Amino acid sequence: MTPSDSVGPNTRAVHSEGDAKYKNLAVSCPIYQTSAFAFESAEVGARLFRGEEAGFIYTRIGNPTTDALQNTVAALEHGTYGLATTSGMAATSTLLLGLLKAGDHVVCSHAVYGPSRVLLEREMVRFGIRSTFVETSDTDAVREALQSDTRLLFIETPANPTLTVTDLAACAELAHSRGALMAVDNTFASPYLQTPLDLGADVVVHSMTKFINGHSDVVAGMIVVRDPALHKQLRPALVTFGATIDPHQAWLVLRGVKTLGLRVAQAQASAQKVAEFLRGHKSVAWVSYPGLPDHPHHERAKRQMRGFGAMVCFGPGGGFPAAQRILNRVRLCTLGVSLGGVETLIQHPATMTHAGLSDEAKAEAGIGADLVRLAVGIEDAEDLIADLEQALAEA
Amino acid sequence: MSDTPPAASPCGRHYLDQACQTSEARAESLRRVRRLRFDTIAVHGLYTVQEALDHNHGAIMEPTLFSSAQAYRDSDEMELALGYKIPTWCYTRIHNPTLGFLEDKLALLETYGSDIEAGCCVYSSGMAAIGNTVDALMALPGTKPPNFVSACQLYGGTYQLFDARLKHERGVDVRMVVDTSSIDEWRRNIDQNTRFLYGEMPSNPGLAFFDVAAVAALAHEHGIPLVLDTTIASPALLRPMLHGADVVIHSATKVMSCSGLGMAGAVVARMPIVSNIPNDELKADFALYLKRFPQREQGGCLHPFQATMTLTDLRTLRARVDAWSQTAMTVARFLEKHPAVLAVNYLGLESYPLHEVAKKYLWLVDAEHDERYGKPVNRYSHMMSFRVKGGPAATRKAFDRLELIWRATDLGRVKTVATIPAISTHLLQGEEARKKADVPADLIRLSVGAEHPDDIIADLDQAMSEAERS
Repeated sequence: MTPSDSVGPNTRAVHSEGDAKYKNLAVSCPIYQTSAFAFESAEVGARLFRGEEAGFIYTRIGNPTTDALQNTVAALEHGTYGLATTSGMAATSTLLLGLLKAGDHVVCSHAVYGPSRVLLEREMVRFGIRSTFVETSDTDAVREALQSDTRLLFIETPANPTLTVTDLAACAELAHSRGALMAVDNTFASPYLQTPLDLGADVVVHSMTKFINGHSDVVAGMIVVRDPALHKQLRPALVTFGATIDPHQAWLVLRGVKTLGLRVAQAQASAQKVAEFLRGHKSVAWVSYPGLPDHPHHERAKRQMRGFGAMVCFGPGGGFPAAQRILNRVRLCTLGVSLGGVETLIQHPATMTHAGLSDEAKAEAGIGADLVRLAVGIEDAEDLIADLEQALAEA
Repeated sequence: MSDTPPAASPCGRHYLDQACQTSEARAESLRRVRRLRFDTIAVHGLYTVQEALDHNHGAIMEPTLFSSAQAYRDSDEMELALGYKIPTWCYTRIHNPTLGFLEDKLALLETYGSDIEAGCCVYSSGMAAIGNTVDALMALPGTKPPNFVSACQLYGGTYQLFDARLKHERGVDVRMVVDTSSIDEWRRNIDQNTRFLYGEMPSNPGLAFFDVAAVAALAHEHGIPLVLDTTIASPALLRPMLHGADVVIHSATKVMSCSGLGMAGAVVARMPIVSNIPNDELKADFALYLKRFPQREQGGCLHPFQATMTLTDLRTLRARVDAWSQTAMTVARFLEKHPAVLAVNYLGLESYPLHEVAKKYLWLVDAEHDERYGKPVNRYSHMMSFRVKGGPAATRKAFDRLELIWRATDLGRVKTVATIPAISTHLLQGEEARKKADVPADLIRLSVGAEHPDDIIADLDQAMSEAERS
């Protein structure tokens, strides 16, 4: 069965594998752990290579287990085509390498995942691709940054780690009016809470390592598009640059994604309580969580998202030393990067995920030395709050 | 099942016709594959290009079906399937296509070089395979309680099953043969209520070995099967059914899954087995009987992922067994001459009392078709044991000084592993049973892996030199 457009996200997560599922009449998708596929005849082989017949050739090019995952995530994103990659960064780099040529310009959010910025700033420039970084939550700043040769507007919202929220519909309109495409890194929200393709985005990228897989046991990425022409352009980039997912890796994600909705719903319920607790704590100077009514983009988030997510950041009153003390004192929260897993992770972006950014870039993006990022898991909120309370207590 | 056969409906007929075609294709495939050499079968089993194209998108490697259940097209197919009228796997506790790939391959390897037809049922462990086999053969009691006769030189777990679990806890009449080279001792223990004879060879850790053909003939004389655990030899060295055995048991965890990534067991049974049990289904296809009845109800099923890992390791079985056996021979010869060693048990050493009988049975499969040999050659497996001079304390000291060799109760691994059976694998059975099975406290069991023999020897040498010095 393939779900119709009207079914909900939980049904999509469970029932969107497509053909591979029923090929062996197995209820759950098999792992096709094979590097190559046999052809029925020389003629069939030739037709497969010419793209005149659907079928499998070689796992870098396509694999039934990978297909099942691509179909599932594409369905969750309300897209048409998925391209699974071996990591989230492979999804982003495959997108850039497949889409851009020398002379092209990119406008990107200030606050994106650190390595995404490093990729644009240090790697893509070697290929003659220039980037401008702006606060994309400020639509006027995006308008000003777009140039005649801007080919791509790359947005991450909610922003990592600052949790500013960019108006996707407005930005998509701007990008399209200037002949550029808009890509959204939807890792922080997950497709359960936000489907950027519905708001005008052309491409969605994911680190599936995070909410989509959700169990902190796989690294993987995904590109999702609707436009067949765009898929036709990006797919050869994936196949040729070779960042293809492994079938076993794909199967693990396929297993994790089935509970996406349940996990995200539980995690964001806890995140709301944790954010409220932090805001009321005397040792906390500020809290950023889109679900707090005083968050500058609360209304915008309410409009374009189906929930406020499980990411919270805050600054302790005592600045950097206090931030470090908290990181060293938590017992239940694990000190570690990544996010979107069942367990709560805590980290310090300025010295960890975003350490690769220059001081200037950090300042622009609002990544202060006091900023602590919490990726709330599915634990019970009371236990997380108790842990943070003891970590925040004055020594 | 309803009394009205579902085949009456046109749709049901279609499934039966399809099943008939599948079964013919399988028989044809079997005929073709049986003409292939051992290595080729180890690589391909019965998984053909056609099967890949028809059912698996052309995947060259067998897919792993993690699914716990099979879906059916309609109620006709379901009823026929669950009535075992068409091939089905239904539910992974009962069967699974990935398990089928492994079972086909193991049955073919165990009967290689003969026309014997056999079936296979894989298990979650070697002990599950043994437990289920014994359970099936001891069921259906007649007027008198049944018994079975077993060699006493057994893997510690098997001994515990037979002695503690069956004999003492359940009052099962288990009769142990101490001198397995004595056909008379076997014979003395058999009566009309004996259900089967059981042995393990080469045995772990004592490397006992008996004349399979003679014991099989004795069993058949009494209308009962011979069940043999040949985990250590593997079908690359010994295929007991070719010498008359009825049922072969493996801990496929060992040399078959040499990477050491999990547990698996297997029963391979001749079709039919000799048995005095009045159950035609059990006799006709014992492996299928195990799968349909005791295993289905008692569990002990193998996980499909483990089946894939075993399938993968099996592809190189013959080459590994050959290489590791040669390394083991080199190591055994070194140990035999070492001043700190009291005795070496290795079937390949001329000095070992069971060498002659082992030489009769342990042949590297297809050596005559291997251009390096061009003739049959004996190989004696990766397993040996040796006794260290100076008693249990000196033995433990040498054991504790091993640096490269792992101290673990494992064997058949790509890495060399050693254990002292008296304090590990054979600890629970107690002093008296160890004495009977010849498992002294100064015995070290050594399972030789894929390392270079020079490095294994150097490690053993430094460990024992230190022991001597202190």
